[in-house]
Amino acid sequence: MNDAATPTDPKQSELLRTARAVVACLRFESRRSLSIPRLATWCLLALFPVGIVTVFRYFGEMPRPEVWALMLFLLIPESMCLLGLLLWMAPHLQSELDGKTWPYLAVRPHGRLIVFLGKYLNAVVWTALAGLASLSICIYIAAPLMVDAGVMFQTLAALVVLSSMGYGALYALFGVLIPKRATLIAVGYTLTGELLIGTLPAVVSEITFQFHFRCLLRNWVDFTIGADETRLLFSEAPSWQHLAIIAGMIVGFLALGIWLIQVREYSIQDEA
Amino acid sequence: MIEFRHVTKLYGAVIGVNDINLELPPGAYGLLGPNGSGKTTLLNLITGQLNPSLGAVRVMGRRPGHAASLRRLGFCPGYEGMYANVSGFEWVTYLLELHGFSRSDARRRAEQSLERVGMTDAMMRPIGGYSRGMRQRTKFAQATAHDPDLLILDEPFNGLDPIGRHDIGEMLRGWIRQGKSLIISSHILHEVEAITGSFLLIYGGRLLASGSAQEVHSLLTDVPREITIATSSPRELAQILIAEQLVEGIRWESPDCITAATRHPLNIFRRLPELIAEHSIRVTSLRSSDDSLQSMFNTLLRLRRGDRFSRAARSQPVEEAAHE
Repeated sequence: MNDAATPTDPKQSELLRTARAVVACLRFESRRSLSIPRLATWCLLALFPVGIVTVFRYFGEMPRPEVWALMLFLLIPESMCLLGLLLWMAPHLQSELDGKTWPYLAVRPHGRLIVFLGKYLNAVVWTALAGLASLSICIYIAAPLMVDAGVMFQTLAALVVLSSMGYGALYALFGVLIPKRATLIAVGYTLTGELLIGTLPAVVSEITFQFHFRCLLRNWVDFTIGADETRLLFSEAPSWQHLAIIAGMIVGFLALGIWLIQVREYSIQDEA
Repeated sequence: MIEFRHVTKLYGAVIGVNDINLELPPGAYGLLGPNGSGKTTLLNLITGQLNPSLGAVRVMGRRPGHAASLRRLGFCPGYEGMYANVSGFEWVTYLLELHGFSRSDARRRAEQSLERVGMTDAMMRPIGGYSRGMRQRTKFAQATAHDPDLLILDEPFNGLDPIGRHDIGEMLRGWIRQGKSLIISSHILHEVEAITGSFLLIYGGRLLASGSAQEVHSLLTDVPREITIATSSPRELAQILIAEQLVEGIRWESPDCITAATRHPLNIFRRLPELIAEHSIRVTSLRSSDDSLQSMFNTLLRLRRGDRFSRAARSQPVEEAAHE
């Protein structure tokens, strides 16, 4: 290979160059995302939990502190983050793979890996930022009615980040697995897997992200819930165990997605 | 540089390329074939976007898609597919960063590359506002900005006006003069011929011929050449040419135009003036396109298809042939 074809310092490792390219992809995607429709969607997404919390705070009955925690959990990490990722993860990956930009990107060294991770990080960052903005405003509004608003914020903020990373990894996998139906599959899974199976008082719910997020919420926020309810909907496992399972699922989904995007053929242009 | 070993690519039951055996040393090659012949499949196999169903492909000694070979490869797809809302400069910079260049290096190289293709004035404008020629130049800039050893272009002349075609042709000739390798796919034969003398002919997923123009010509020594004659008396002229055993077949192109196939075209050229004078036949034009790549391509395609034009026509009486 001639010098001209060697990008940057030859002493730099392949890993470092790839990591830098992932950051470049994230920056490029974020820059492209700064459009009025995208920003308007982001604002709407961040404000819809705020609207509901405002209605409860000023016009409804005063919920118990633990109900505030559950409500914010269901509104932000379990609804807003899911919606954000449904909008920004699978469809964006799908449009790249289906679209005609893919060959430009895939013929770059490690291009497939870089684009997969760059788009994943972009979706996670945009969703997590919307979640954290929404959470901050909601906690501000509801803080007078909470026992410990600081702990609540920290707990839910961590769950927002975990939710964005977890569901993002899963939807990214859907995006490379079935590109043409990725959004449909993601919506289908969310409704049946996370919203239906995830809330079943049965062992099967433990395969969902929602179960582990819920258990972390109970472990980190001091809940006063009846013993029967606890037995059915939560596990007694320590937080580190749930965190390890979530991390394993994220890494597993991402690894599977990376493997698929490396080996599958996405060149679907018309034959010239 | 590139090696295909019994490579077949299947799309379900459809064959993309069929048992291709090929070894290409560094150089410039034109990949010629009609639409749907397998050109893009072949290029996608080289760039690693497709995997062969059978056989093996090696690019610069490695499997296609390997980071080390991709680092030395520049690819210009046959379609545009660039983001409309980013500028040419941002697009080329981004692709260089994906290639592994630092941001500052990428910006510098993108600027230089766009300048080389004459896009300096427009490079900060969104690609969505570019003309076809400007987009083609931008594509060329992104493919060459990292200074690859091998440049692959899929139908680079498509949709370009004559000036655009000339400019791209000049850029490609400049590229070859630098000693770099090139594979250019096209169905516009004279433009490829103007860029390189080595080519690969592909049809129906099969490689019909490869090598220099002279090498392919040598394959055709035993193939009848075609002479198209416009005349007021095509039937009479056809009868005379067959009776004189000057042709091996006749084809009617139109009511006043015939194409004669012959292995000895010079005999026709020598005898035709006296024959038409003798029989008072008026010939308005006479054309042989045997020296062009187009003729060679058409002949090879017909041979590949098993179209025994000359022999079939020779065995028919002129009257019957006239009604075809």
